[in-house]
Amino acid sequence: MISTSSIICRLATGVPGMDEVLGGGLPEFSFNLIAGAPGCGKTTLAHQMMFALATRERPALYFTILGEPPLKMLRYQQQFEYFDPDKLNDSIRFVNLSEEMASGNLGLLMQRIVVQVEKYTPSLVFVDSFHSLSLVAQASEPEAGSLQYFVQNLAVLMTSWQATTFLIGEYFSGNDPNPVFTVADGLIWLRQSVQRNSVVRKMEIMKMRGQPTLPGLHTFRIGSDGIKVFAPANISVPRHSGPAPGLERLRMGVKGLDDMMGGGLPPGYSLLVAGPSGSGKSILASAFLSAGAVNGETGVIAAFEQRPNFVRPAAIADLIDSDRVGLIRPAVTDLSVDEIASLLLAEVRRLGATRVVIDSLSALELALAPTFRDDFRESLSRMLSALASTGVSVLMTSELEDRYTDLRFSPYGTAFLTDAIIVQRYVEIDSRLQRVLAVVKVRASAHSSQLRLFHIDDSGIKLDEMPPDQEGILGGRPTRRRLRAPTAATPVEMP
Amino acid sequence: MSRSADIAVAAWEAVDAALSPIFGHNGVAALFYRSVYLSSVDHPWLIPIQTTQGRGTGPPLAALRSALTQRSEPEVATVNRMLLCRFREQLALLIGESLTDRLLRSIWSDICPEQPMQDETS
Repeated sequence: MISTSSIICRLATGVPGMDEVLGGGLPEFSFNLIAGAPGCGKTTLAHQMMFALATRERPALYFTILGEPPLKMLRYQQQFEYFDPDKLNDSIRFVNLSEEMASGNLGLLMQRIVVQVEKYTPSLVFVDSFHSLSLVAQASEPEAGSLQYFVQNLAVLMTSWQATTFLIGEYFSGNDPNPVFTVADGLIWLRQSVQRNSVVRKMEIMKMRGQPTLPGLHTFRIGSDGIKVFAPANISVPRHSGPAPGLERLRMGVKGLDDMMGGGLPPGYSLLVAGPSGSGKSILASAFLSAGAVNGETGVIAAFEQRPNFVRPAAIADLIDSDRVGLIRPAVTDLSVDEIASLLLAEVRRLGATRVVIDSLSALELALAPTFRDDFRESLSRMLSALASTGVSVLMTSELEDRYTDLRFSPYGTAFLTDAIIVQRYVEIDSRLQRVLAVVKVRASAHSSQLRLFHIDDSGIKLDEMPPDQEGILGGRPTRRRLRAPTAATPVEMP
Repeated sequence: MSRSADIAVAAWEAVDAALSPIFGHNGVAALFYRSVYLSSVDHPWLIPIQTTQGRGTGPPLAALRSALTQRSEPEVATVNRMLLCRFREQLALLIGESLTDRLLRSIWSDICPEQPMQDETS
């Protein structure tokens, strides 16, 4: 009977993104192992959770064994914003057991732990670090399975004392059949993945009993405010399959373009603007945001151009200054798409934005850590779904190589991920370089099939009429249409 | 037995009791030896204390006592106050003033009444 089964309370870890990855928080009274190589953030994770969770009603005990000397640990940990010295010796107590450890007697160590636990009745217990324990166990007299016995004892003791426990361990490898793994309710694995010159921190929940954890390696970053985990964006909301009825379409901010798109961009759609360098993609994106602002909507722009003296159109700069458009411009490299998605979603939520611009996909791909580039399409698709589930409309720009022998819309095969596509091209007409654009696709909506010449002036993009007598424009070398086409097909000459 | 030496040793016992649960006796002893080393430039009679380094756990209070008992009462009080302040400085250099204050606040006014905590504003 479900009604008589025990209810496990879940604790909010205080680490952004971590509760999602854990599948709803940390089960109370669980016995967990935080493992990973040196420098991957185990102690930081433990401290951040401890400072977030510990209160006078829910005190924490932090046992330091022969790991990091506590003098240095406190020195470094207080650099993080979560470190609250007022909690020390109040809701948080550090207990040094290095001398008991040095004796090599696990029984004595257990006694000391019991004494402290009985004295302070903590709800949270941390043991740092566990690697030193297994070293001692190997060195001490080989009571069969002495370490496993110790860990099992500890697990039973802590659970019966109703303490949520964390063992912080080092150097474990996932293949190593360490007895600790079987005892633990939760295994949190921290990794540093190295590819070429880039290092990316990743977290994996290898095990969490009774919890629907999010499988996979989740990127995290350590900043001055501690660890932030970038959980994959929630995509549980199903995507709509066409323009939502009753909702007004979004104006593009370019006169004539709305008509070409069958009345504007349907809300919630993603639009790819593809074109060669300098063809006016960013200007179209600016017009899109400005048109929203005119309508009282807010927007978010994610810019990945790395040029420091990059000049944004004055209209957009004003919107950013007045906080009607949020600017996301990650100053760090080695990004992941999940990280960008979480930044975008947070900003969309903050501003209640309806329009999002990503300028450009090409620069975004360059800003990614090499380890994520292979999965670019998968993660982009996930990000677009997550954005779509919030109801925002997305405009993305993409560099398009100048090619006149084939008609390409994106170098990534990203075209099929989007609901609408506008392509911009250079063409030669009358010995001058001119720009044309066409609406290639607007899913589940009528749209124009016209090619339109356009030019860019101080106020933005202006659509022009096509010269009536040009053809083969997308080939880049239009020819003047013959006034009278040949009536019969020219016979093909056979060699 | 000099009364000042008793007071001095009692002060160090209080420091060790307050800090060793966190840093371990060895951590407290390491900072103690460092303070003795820094002070022995002006007071070479402290040097013998240093020879006990690495022999036990915790500050070498027996060695401290035997060094102090050979000095005059006022000198013992002055030098021990200097040792305590040096120790506190060393700790603050490592873990910062506010945390040091937090950990030593309850005992400091008893063991070093002439030296109020630096950031005691209230």
